[in-house]
Amino acid sequence: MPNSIPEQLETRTLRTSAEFVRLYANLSGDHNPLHLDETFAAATPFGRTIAHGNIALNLLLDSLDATFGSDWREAAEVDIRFNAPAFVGDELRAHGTRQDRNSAVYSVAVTTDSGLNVVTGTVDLRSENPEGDG
Amino acid sequence: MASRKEIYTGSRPMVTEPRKDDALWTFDRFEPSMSFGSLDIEIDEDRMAAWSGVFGAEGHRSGLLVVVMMEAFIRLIQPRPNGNVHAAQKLQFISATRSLERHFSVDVRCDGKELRKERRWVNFRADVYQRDALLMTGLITTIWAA
Repeated sequence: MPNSIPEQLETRTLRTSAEFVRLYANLSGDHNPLHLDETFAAATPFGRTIAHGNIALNLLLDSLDATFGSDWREAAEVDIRFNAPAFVGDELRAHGTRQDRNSAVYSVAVTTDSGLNVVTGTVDLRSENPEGDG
Repeated sequence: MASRKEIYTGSRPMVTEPRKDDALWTFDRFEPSMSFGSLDIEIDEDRMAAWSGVFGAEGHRSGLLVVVMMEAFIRLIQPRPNGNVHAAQKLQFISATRSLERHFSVDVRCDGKELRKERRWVNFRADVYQRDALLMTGLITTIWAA
């Protein structure tokens, strides 16, 4: 667990774009047309292309890295839900607040510039990895 | 002294070779505990440049583990229907004792499935290793499209 547990995580932001999503698709190998093909996406309930959920998740991990360096990965659990899509073009902001002063658990979110929490969840920096069974 | 991996998981489980049939992966074909095999992934200079192009050159790059997890999840389960939705994600980080290198191995298996409110929920587990040490386990919750 990191030595210092601040009240807030370092905020990180990024602006998504069609080019950004294409680069992330090439990086991850995730070429789901929901992210890349306007015609395909228009026929889905989303109505338009959406950013990969893991772009928001990676932004959150970047926030943890900025706050703690790599120490936080010693034994931690990140547990998040993708509540809503981030549309291509949205700006994303990753942030988190410590749940209380005796806790090493943060409530975290990734929020669009329109105020929608596309990701919410928790980061537990004292996780004992209870589900690990190999 | 035992490594964290030994404390946490015991030896690395035996994995099978990637399945080589061409049939579409549909909800009906998934079975809990089914292994999709293991994938070795090298982060070469081109991919590091791509990473920096997306997330910048600064930072500690923990997100690279998510990228390799997703690449294995995508490549080992093919062909797949279009329009799958990534609904939730749990990441259990096991060890920061080794700095991240460029070579990873990822084991992927099915962690369960459920038909709920006419949606096909399928859970997957991906274990990311570096030099046989488990770095991260990802639990991927999806709504499968077919």
